[in-house]
Amino acid sequence: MSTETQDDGLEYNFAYLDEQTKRMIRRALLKAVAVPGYQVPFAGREMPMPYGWGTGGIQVTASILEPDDVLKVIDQGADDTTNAVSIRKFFQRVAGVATTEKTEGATLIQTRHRIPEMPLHEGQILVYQVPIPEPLRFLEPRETETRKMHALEEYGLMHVKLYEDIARHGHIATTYAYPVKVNDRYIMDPSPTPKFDNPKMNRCAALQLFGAGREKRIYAVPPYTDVVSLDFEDHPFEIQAWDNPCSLCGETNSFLDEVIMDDQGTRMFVCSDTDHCTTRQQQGYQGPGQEAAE
Amino acid sequence: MSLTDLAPGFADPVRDAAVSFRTILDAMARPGDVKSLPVTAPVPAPFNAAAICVALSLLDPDTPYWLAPDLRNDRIIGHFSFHTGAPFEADIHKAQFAFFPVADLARVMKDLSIGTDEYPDRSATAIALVPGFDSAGGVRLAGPGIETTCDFAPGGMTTDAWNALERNAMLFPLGVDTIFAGPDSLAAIPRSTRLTQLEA
Ligand SMILES: [Zn+2]
Repeated sequence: MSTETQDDGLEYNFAYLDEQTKRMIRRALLKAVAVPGYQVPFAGREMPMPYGWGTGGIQVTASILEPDDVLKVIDQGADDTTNAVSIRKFFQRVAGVATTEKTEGATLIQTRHRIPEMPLHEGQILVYQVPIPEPLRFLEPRETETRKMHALEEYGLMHVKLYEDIARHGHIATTYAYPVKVNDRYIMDPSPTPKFDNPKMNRCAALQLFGAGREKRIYAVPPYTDVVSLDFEDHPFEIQAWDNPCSLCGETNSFLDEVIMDDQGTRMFVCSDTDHCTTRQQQGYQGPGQEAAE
Repeated sequence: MSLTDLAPGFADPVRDAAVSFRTILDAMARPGDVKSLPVTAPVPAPFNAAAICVALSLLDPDTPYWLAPDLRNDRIIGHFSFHTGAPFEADIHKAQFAFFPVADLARVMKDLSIGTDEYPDRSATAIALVPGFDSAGGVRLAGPGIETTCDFAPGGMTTDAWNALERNAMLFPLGVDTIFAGPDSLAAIPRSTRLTQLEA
């Protein structure tokens, strides 16, 4: 099964990437796991991919996939967005792997924004596609300088920036890509996930891998590793909260998206994690429905 | 030596490298957890099956590797050259991968690259060939990848060898990552793991 012959008569190398690229990424992944939160540079090649696919995530997934994997792909929290569907189909085609929308049954989950609401387990790997891997980039545009700051653990500026938020807004206004400290050493950007998901990264049973295609960086959080959101004693880290439960499944502890229901602009708040929401509805949980949610 | 002396590599190179790598990744992500090899490839003496799996899945022309004198022979160098294209490196300081019998561990660790402050990834990976994983004594491991603690006792480790790994852990985030390669399984201790020696 070195190559997969497809209906269209074309042959792909298993999981699309050539073996030399996979080996290079595999070696980078091992270093990333050994130094949690540190960004390992890799000499990735340009991959012809549609915009929004996230070549970093795709390259990591392609390098770790094995034939027995069951792959789940989510974009925001949903399995059925255009991107999620096409990435899933892509790996079905080039790697012949099974796919699922169920968090529980997946061995490998590729995500762009969300961490599933259901706690992940030991047999799972979560792959994040990351647009901007460097948490210090907006403070310091020069790579040589950010590297030095990480090397010397010079993270004072990051705290200053968060404190300026507090001075301006009365609280830390950063809600996405909220910086974390990993294993009490490196400050890491948890990709464009909402800060709601930060606590799920902490001591997660699954292995978490991050791929940034444009900047060619790979980083990782091994299972059961401390991941702490930066904060201050007088302004502790807090996650987003909603006034109402999910309109469809009644969940009170999940990340909600606002959706417009009709031309009259009827709105409703529902779980962004579609698998979580449908699983709960199948179990008999019910939300207040759209009227009550307004 | 001639081409006819060469043993085959992986039977299905792409698939076998993929499943071998997942085992190595899993081992690195869960220090001290002993993983069975998912595939085996022919093993030229005096290597063992796990060390061959590591070599065939990770080496290529970009990765100079070093062999301890006891493992160094034309057959091995020819085998790696043919199946991976990796160059043998006589200077241990320049090696990205170093293969050695576990008895050499304390000595070898002193010479391996530990990376730099700005590029801790530019460090060597050590592959220690061990007879097995059910020895007495050993160490208690803690740190990333380990929920509470994990007891780990590969064969052939001495106090000196454990001391060398303890010193290595103190260099974090610099340091060497070690893969323990056995006859049918492997395990790893990355630099992030903290060790406490147990009474034998
Ligand atoms: Zn819901």
